[in-house]
Amino acid sequence: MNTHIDQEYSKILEKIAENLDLTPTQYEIATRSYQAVGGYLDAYDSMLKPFRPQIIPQGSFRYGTVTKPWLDGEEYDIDLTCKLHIHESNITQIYLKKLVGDRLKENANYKRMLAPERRRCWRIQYNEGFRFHLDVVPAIPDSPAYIRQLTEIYGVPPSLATHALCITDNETWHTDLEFPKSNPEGYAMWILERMKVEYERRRAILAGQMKLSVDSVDPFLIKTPLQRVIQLLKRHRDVRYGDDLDKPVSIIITTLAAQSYDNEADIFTALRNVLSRMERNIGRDHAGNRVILNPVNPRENFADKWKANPRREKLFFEWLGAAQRDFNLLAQKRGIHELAIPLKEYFGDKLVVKSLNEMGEHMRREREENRLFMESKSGILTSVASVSTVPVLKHTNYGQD
Amino acid sequence: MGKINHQKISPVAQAEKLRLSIPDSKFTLKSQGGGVVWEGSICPCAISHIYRISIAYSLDKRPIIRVLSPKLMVPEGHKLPHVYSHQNQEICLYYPPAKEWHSGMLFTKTIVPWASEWLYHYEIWAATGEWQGGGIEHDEKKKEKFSGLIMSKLK
Repeated sequence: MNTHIDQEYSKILEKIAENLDLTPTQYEIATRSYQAVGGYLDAYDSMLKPFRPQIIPQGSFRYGTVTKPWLDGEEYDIDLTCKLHIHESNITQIYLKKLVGDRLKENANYKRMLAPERRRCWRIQYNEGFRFHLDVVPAIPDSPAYIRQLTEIYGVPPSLATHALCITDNETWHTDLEFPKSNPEGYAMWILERMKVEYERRRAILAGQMKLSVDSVDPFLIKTPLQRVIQLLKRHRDVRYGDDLDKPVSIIITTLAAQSYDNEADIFTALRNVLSRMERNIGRDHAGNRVILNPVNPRENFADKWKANPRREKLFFEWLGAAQRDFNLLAQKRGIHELAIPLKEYFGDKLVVKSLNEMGEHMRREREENRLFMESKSGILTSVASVSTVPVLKHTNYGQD
Repeated sequence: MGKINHQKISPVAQAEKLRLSIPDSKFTLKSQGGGVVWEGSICPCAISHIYRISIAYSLDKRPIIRVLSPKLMVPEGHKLPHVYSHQNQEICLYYPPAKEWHSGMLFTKTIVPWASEWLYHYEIWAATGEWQGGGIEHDEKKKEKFSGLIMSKLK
């Protein structure tokens, strides 16, 4: 494969993924909102104060794979863990959930913004400006004994296992005394680990450009090909299956993509490599059922619902096959306008039109600011001047005479 | 133009410069008046089509730039922006009153880069229906007359 060609496809895919992401303003609003919730739960007069509450963003917001909702009426959701330092034997699921809920309801604003109680979280609804909700998941640390089991028996690295949590579930708490397990922090760290090479390379470049130390670069600004690939695949899934409840779930797409990513520097290459490797990362148990293990808790199988609902398994493999075919087909298209036809089909009309228009606008600005050059032999436009390029001079396209 | 002090470049010199600069390109001399027609291929970006274009030029006339192939795509309900002639795929790259180009300027440094940029914006336009390449629009009267003409030609 010609690398120049792949890079051009990647530019378009990068632009599309950028438009799937939160805008910097939305990111700022969401960050301020969750920090305000954190500050409120941890305020000096908070009944939670003695338990040193920690509000930590999790899920796609945490590891930078937020994807614009596809269906009308859907909104961005941002997951937060509210970790209280309470020993498992000193609290019940019901009481833990109530503790966090009661504190939220003490504030008239949050009380008004609370959605009806959810299964594992309290949902705070934000409808002003841009629509999103914060899902606050009450949690406590898991026991040292369980964490030891994860590391010693299941081989989970201690640095990840140590973040294991107990959460609540109002559908099972009357029948099951044991706390459900979760480890969103460990999972987020695992994702970062899987893309570490590209993450650090990009962070160093950004730090240089912004004249900051690497630690001062906002992680939101760093986007590796893995993050972009996950966003693109989730969107491809959404467009294909809409509101079908059996469509491939994000945690499976994210996990398999991260396992299949080999720190490719180019999005289009990463996308096709990831799709070709995904299936290898799905195992089988003794009974022949498909297994996609939670990397930070191998006792959890993300595909456990496939057994009871074979349609889920069927749709997953159907989607994977379609994605492989679709993105291989893309590689054969020449002409941005010809490429746009399948792109619109995979990602939606509006998004593709917006992205391509922005690329055109960028090209015009480059020329207006005298940063556009052309390779003399081929006609290829570039922002890098060399001995074989000529500048694209100022000119005004004119119409019919 | 007469008042501007520049050395005019002859059509043959322009064409020869193009031929040397762009591989697989050629030119022919017009039978009369010392004019030339050059023809060559350019590609605005690695995933664009490769476009065959021609520049016909006689001294003291404006160069005529045409896209020979492929046939340009026009989405339904739209008309090709910034062209002199739809049918001949003849494109306009500069605004004559602004004197952005004069006969002392090499095509390889003006017309060809502008054509490549035009083709890039054409591909975006054919995908989105919006022209992002900038330029001067015609007054509305002319526009209407023009699109009416195209419509009648298409019929």
